[in-house]
Amino acid sequence: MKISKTLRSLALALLAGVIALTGSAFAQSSVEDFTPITDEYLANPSDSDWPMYRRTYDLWGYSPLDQINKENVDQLQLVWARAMEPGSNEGTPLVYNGVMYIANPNDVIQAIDAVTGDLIWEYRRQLPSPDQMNMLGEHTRSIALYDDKVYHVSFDNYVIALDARTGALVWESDRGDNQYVTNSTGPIVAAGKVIAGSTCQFAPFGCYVTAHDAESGEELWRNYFIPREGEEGDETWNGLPFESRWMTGAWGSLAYDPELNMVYYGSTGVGPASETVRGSGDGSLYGTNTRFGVDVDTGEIVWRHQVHPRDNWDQECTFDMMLVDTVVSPTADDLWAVNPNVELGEERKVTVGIPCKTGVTWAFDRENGEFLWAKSTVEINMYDDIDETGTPIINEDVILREVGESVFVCPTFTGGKDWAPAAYSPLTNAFYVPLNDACADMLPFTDEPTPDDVYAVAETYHMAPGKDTVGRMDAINVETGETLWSHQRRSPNYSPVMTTGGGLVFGGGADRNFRAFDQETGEVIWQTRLASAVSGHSVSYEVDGKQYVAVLAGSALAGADFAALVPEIDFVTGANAVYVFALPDDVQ
Amino acid sequence: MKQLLRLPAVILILSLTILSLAQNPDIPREWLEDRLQLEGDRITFCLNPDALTASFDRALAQELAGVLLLEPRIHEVETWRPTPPLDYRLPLNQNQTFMLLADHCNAFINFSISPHTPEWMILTRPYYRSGFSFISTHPEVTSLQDLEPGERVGTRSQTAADISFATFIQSLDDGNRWSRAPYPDNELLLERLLDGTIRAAMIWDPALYAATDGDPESQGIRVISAGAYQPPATEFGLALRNQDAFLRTMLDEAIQYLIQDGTIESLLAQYGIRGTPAGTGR
Repeated sequence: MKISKTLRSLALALLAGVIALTGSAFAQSSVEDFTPITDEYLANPSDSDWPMYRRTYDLWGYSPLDQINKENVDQLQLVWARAMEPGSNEGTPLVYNGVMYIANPNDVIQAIDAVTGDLIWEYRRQLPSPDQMNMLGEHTRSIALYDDKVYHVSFDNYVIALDARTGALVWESDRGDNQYVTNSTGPIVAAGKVIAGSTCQFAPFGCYVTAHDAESGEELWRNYFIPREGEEGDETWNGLPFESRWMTGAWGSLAYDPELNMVYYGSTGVGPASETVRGSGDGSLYGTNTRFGVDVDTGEIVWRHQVHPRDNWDQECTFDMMLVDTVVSPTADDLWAVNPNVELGEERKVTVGIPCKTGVTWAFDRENGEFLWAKSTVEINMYDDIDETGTPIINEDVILREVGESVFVCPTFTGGKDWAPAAYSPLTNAFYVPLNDACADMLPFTDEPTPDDVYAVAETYHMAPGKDTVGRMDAINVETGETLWSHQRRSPNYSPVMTTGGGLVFGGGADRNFRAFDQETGEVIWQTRLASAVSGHSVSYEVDGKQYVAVLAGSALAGADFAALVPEIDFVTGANAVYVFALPDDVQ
Repeated sequence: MKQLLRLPAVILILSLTILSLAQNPDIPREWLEDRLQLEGDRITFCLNPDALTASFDRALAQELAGVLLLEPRIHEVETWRPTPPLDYRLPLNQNQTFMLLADHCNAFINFSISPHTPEWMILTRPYYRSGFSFISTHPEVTSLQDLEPGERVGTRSQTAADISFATFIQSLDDGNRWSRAPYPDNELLLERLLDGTIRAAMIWDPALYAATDGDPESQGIRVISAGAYQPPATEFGLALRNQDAFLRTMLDEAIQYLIQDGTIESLLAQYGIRGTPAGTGR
């Protein structure tokens, strides 16, 4: 039977009416008794809450709650779950005063009752079709809370502020370059400013970090990374025209030290990947793959350190480096480099972590950027050495020098380390980091790449030499650099990590398991299998005396590149959801 | 002759969409409508309206559909990111291209032929090819050999010719090499040549002749010799999903027909595209 156009139109109109009525049935409510969030609160939040990306400015990813601990974690039960929007689901559920603020893929932000999972309000940004934007913008790893607002950087590169009570749009500020630039890891609010990096892949120019006034949305400062002709560091680009210095942004985690009033971030690499295709020769590429300490009020760069010069492999040094005040005694046997001026046993304000895909751990004094120590984790062949100043000496044998000639490189485009953040525990003075051991044959294209393949390199993946596992989690002591334990398994690990006061490390993996490890031993104490890969962050919070653990699962770039290496792993993506666990009432 | 192609073309269209999507890129399934594009005897081409050759592409699509006795439909691709000026480059990544082919069209016209296509994509045979020329505005530069070692030669980055030229430079002695100055688009490349930033450049012929109304010398630009080095031409065909192999075969035959009967050569001349029908040796 053929339905006439008129009938079809009528049916569509009726359907639209039904959808509209259904939508109106979920009338938006508002968050009751919302208490504005202050600078002081964010510097020292309640143990019950998880009010920013990694809970605290220092990026620890640590909840002090200990109701769930090593003795009882095996009794965790699912208390509620809620479906989420489709798309890459790498978000973080923020929790403040019993309300969960959660960013779904594609700019859908919700406030949810953190005890029941019921929707309170929803903001849904109108966006162009996804085939007209930088698709990396579908990731929203976090949003930010401050005063009475929720802050977000949209798929189309606007900084926006929502009313935390109702979800209503308060202001938005266009950062420009909407067709090329987006943001994936989200902003932080520091000293009343919304600080945000940029996801700049596919852009025929370099990108920036911005600061906006949290109240008005006015842009206060903007820091670019790539020098123009004649500026400091221009000579390291070997005369490559400024118009061809592309893609350097900062899409990873931002840290903030309220005492030093400094914000910390790292820049990415550059495209195309091969220095020959790029045309920059053996230049070190000033501004790329660099860690920065920046005055949050002015944007002035206080210190900078390039941790990965002359990138040929898209190693992107933009990932999380935690802020820890610790005794420094870099005495582990397997350190790659130590600054000889470091006095063993002295107390330092340190920034430490694995900022690049290389998997190299770096530690700096965060007051002045002084290099302290470095060590490798996963297999790496890009460096011959790291010298006493913290400068890598590049292995000339793995430079992508000849177009059409394949080079065996460790690690890969996808790490090593990638976006999934590590977590630090003050109980052990160690951080716990998700990693992948893999290598690749990298082949700079001999012919024109397919559209917008700006890296212009083909990759064939391999196990790292001597390995039959891909995913791992390492525990590294911040004082000594010693590796306390390394949990290694076949399934890739692109799952963020959380530590808790209960002596636990939570993490997931591409195999759909959500696990709790013993911080001290690395033993897996508990695990449960979800509907899809653990794609997003886990957090912990407390409401009415009950501790909860929440985690996002669903679609992600969850190691599928390595599927051929571990064919027995059942890669499942999709079915985006937030899962919330707690102990039975009689166990608490 | 043309009628011979009709029946198989209709059959193929009806059978295409039920095949496996096993090699598709990792795109959220919810984003794909995966519509059946062929309704009755219609074929839909995706076309980039910002490409330098868009008018030629539109006319060619009509001719291809005519050979297959199908009703042509053009889906003009909208992108936020513009095609570089004076260029053919499609400002889409693989996932975006896949989504367009899954939801809006059967074939993407004006696709540069590359061996590095993703697994889910297949290409037709090329229908035309266009070359690259070395140019200069300096009377004393009549050949690349007149440039100083280390001097920069402008290119539009990441064309096949650009990469080939990089390889050629690498083959020269260390002390006798030029450098490349890769620019993101041909308009900027010409601008830098004319403002004296560079003394020589390698440029895609259709861009050179479109920018100068077919007469480069009227603007002081001369084609210079590259000696023994010949940059490779770029060839253009249509892109499809790999499940559409039968349609690809039919389009190949249609392209062959249009080359042999002189249609493509006529269209190139009509729309002022500096190129030759592919596979003719001209």
